[in-house]
Amino acid sequence: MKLGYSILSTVILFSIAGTRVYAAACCVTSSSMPALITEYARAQTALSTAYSSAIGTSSSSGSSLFFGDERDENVFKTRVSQALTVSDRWQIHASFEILRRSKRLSNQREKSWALGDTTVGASYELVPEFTYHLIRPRVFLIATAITPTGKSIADDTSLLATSASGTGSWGFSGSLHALKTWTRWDLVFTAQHTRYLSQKRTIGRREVRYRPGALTVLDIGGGAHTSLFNVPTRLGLSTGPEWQATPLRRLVWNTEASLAVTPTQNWSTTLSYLDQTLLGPTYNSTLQRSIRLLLSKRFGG
Amino acid sequence: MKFLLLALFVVLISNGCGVSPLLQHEKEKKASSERTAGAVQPFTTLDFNSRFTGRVYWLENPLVGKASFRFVSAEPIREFDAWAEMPDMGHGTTPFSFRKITDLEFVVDDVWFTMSGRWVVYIEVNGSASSLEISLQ
Repeated sequence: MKLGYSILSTVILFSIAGTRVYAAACCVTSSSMPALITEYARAQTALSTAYSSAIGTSSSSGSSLFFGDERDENVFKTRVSQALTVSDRWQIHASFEILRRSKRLSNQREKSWALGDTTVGASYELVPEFTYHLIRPRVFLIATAITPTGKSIADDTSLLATSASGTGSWGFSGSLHALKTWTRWDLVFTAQHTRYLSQKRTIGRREVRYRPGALTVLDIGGGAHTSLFNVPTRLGLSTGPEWQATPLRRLVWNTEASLAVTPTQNWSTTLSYLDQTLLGPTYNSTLQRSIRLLLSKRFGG
Repeated sequence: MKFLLLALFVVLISNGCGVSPLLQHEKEKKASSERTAGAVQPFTTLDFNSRFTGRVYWLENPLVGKASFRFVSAEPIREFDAWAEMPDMGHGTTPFSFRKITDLEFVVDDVWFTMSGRWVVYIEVNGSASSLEISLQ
């Protein structure tokens, strides 16, 4: 029973503690859920690859336009993240990512590879679960610093702006992550708020001070636990808004379905599909669909 | 519980807080047909510090992608520059290319509007600047 619960927890935490990454096509502001470790491991390494395709855009009035055959925008993102347990409740984490962006517009095609932004941070388990409680969830608080190792769109010299791979600004995010598990079900809630420092940019002959708006992401989801070919499996579904307070307020809704399998206690694989075209309203945003594969390995469990 | 989650998902999609982009959207037309549709060249008159005026004629209707325009000034052009900015996003474009046609007229090529949204095109003539705003989807 204890082993069963442990594997169940592992499936959940592996599947939620991935590296979901959203990215606004324009300015590559992104939110990502840092890796979290269960209490039985000293470290966790995660590798994720995600392929995102922009389907269309939404305007200030809320109307949506889906791209025709003459236009496409794709991002292939590989991200490596590492988390380490420092004490019973404290963890530290870091991640970096590499992006390959491609774009086609007015019969012009352009591709580029670039290093994205890097993150470092710490998390604290505010409400641990030393003994099982039917209702009380586990709650984590996470602080992350985003270092602008990627190239901002203002520094991009490519014709179609495909080499932009980061915000260009330092960012700081705070997240709250709550998780409740029952025998065959779980509920997960995440709230993340990110703020960026302003930046001086030269555009043409003008000098402007650009203030990237604060980015807020909410996500609520649930999972059903079963077994596929005797391998513990979690089927998950989650949804929530993502909004950014730029001068033009951006709002988009993320909906994600995922399948996570845990062949051993230390290995996990998650395949997920994220769609931003299902729910509305949406304003001033690129609408994307993406598919992601995540591999996680725990050490010292 | 399984059915509850599924029902919640279906309700959110069909009746959510707003319109689902999947259920209600327009399909982007081909740039070639859109450009042909606007056969009449629209122009915008710009004021340069109340000293003189100039007119911008789009050679192709500006869409997301490549565009070009003709600028005709009421005063002979000694110095000319033009660029575009997306003020809400804090970035511009790659530099435009210019062709001088006469002392009063320039053609600006390689105007790459790389994304949807509000763009401001700045034109500087003989040290005076003016701008026009366009919104692209």
